Amino acid sequence: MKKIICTLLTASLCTASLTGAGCMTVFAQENEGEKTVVTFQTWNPADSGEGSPIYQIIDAFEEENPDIEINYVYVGSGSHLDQLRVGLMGGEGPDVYGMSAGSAYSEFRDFEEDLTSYCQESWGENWEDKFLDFCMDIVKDEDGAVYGVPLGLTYAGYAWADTNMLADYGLSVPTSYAELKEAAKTLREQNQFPMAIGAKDTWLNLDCWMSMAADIDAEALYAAINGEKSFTDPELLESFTLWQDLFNNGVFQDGAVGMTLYNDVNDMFQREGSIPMFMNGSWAMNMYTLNDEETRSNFNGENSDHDIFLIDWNDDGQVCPVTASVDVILCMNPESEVKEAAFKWMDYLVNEGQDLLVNGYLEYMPSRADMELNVSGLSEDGQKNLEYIIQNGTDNVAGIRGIENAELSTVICDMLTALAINEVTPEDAAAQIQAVSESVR
Amino acid sequence: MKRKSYSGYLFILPMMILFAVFIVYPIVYNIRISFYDWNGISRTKVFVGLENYQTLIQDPVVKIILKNFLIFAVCTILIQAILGLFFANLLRRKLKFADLYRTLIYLPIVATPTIVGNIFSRILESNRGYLNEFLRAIHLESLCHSWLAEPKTALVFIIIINIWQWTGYSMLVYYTGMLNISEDVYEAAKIDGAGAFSQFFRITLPLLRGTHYTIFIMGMIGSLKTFDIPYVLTRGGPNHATEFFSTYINTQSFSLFNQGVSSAIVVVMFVIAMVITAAQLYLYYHNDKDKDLA
Repeated sequence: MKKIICTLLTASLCTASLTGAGCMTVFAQENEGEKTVVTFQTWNPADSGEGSPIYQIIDAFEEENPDIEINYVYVGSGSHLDQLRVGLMGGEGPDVYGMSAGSAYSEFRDFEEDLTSYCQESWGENWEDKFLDFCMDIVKDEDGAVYGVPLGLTYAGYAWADTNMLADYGLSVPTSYAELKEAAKTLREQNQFPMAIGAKDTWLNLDCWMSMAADIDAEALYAAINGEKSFTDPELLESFTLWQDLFNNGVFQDGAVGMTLYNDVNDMFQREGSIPMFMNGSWAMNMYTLNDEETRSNFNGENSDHDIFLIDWNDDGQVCPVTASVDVILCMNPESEVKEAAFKWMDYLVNEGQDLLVNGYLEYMPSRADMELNVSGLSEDGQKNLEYIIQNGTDNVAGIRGIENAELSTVICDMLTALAINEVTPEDAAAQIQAVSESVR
Repeated sequence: MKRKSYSGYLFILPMMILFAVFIVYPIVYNIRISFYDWNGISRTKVFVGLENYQTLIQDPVVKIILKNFLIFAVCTILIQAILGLFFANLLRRKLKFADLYRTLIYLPIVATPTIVGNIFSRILESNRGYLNEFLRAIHLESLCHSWLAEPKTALVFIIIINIWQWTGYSMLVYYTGMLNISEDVYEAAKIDGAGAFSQFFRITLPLLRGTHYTIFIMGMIGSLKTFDIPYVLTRGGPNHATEFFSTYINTQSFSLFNQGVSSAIVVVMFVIAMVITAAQLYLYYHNDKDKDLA
């Protein structure tokens, strides 16, 4: 009996392994068909359902390149890097993938192909002129090698307002901190949200604080980030005090550190249209192009009027500057077996793809210097806000958005939360940040 | 005789291979990584000896995590066990609709963390959350709080939600344990004049000793691994107030790219789990080696 059981078990194991091998063979044969399959994994451009711009781009690309098939893998931003890491380390990573600017871009360096020669070959010797200088600074390493191509630019530090709703409360869009405080007070008295912020998202806190600190002294901010100045210096200390005041003075809503931007606060502004103001970046311009019924009626309905605006945080008569970053950096897996086709796809996505993503859907601002901004079907209200973003992108950028060093970035984010809930004084927060800043140099 | 013993090994070989590949190897690999400075991605690792452990000792967040773990473990295990026992005892008495109640109490376990997080976020939101709206409606504005945005209340609600979700598990384990107690014992006790109170404290509770240990061990290990509810509801915040081992491992590994430090935390977790389990098993088997856990 035992013998029979052993034989059956062995036979079934062998069958299972053979079946598995068989399946793999079939799979490999399918992939080895006429078409070259390029796997593209990203969180952005997102799969927002049927008719998503990314599918339109893929269809157009495959029509132009019938020998290449794009296997698009959408992974949400929360787990994209985790999945990517496992895939790349296991030798099963995608051929092309989206990468965020900042620490991740440099940490993944072993799995990013040097694209300099591909760019030169496809776009000529002066290919760098194709992109905005600012974008090139982000994607180039210290030796001048390029490991990713920039797809779209975003600006942080903005606030958004529903001007009609503000008018209902007898208010107009605040332009200074003093005005914002008054507006917040009036709104609170009428049981309405003041300026809303999804402060549970520490990246948003960092965006907002950087803009405030840059308004006080942009040079001091970036000098401190680069370790050339102390975070305990008066200019930086003022920014931490200001940040804490925003929570203590009721400028931001109660329990702000318990709310996320996506989707707690964003839904209230974008879909429900139930709050008058919130902090969000230039990427929120896509509220004008989204197709869901609630957003469309809120942003493109009759008499809809929304303003993107900057605040003069230190009341010196000048609004704060914005910070800018590449939204998505397209990278190529050095272990890809279809590099030529992969770069062809990257080339298409950065050019024709970006045209659609920017001019058709306002997913981001252009990263290409040679790209004309001509957004189709944008309402007058949307056009006005777009022009405001372009204007500030031209003459009011303080510097790079975010902080590349992950530990420094994390301690600042932690301290911003601690300040928001009064668990630390601005002086202590600055001292703790400075200690980490010195330890990572 | 020899042949017989070899065939025995052959039978456990598949399980041993699985155990070695999926349990032993990851543990050993993780211990190894804890001695390296590695971002978890690059092909090169730098041996740093005990530096990652030193980093942990100096990290103030680790102290918060240990405190949170102890508070969380004690509160959830005790309250879940008491509630579980209460419901199990109640349902054992052939109540009308007992199956329905059992299902309802067990139901939160199958709810996904995202759904649970979403529901409780709506309940506990400061400005328009149902709890604060309710308090305002009954003119108790003074009791309104930013429940998830204040460090103390955030941890309390993480504990409450965990109890809400996992009481059904304790109930089911106790209920199963109670079904194994012979009715004859209760009959004999009744003849001797024991009331319901005495029966519960002198028969049910002592005979469920193995179940208590199981609940305790599972609860301790569950507390060590707690991730989903704090991650979804508070992401370990505000300011690490609801930080647990697993949420911090996630931060160290995926946000800070400190795989070495992250692995060192896993080793610490592993040691704590081993010590707790070994101590509990020792206490359980101390007097009688023939006992079984429920």
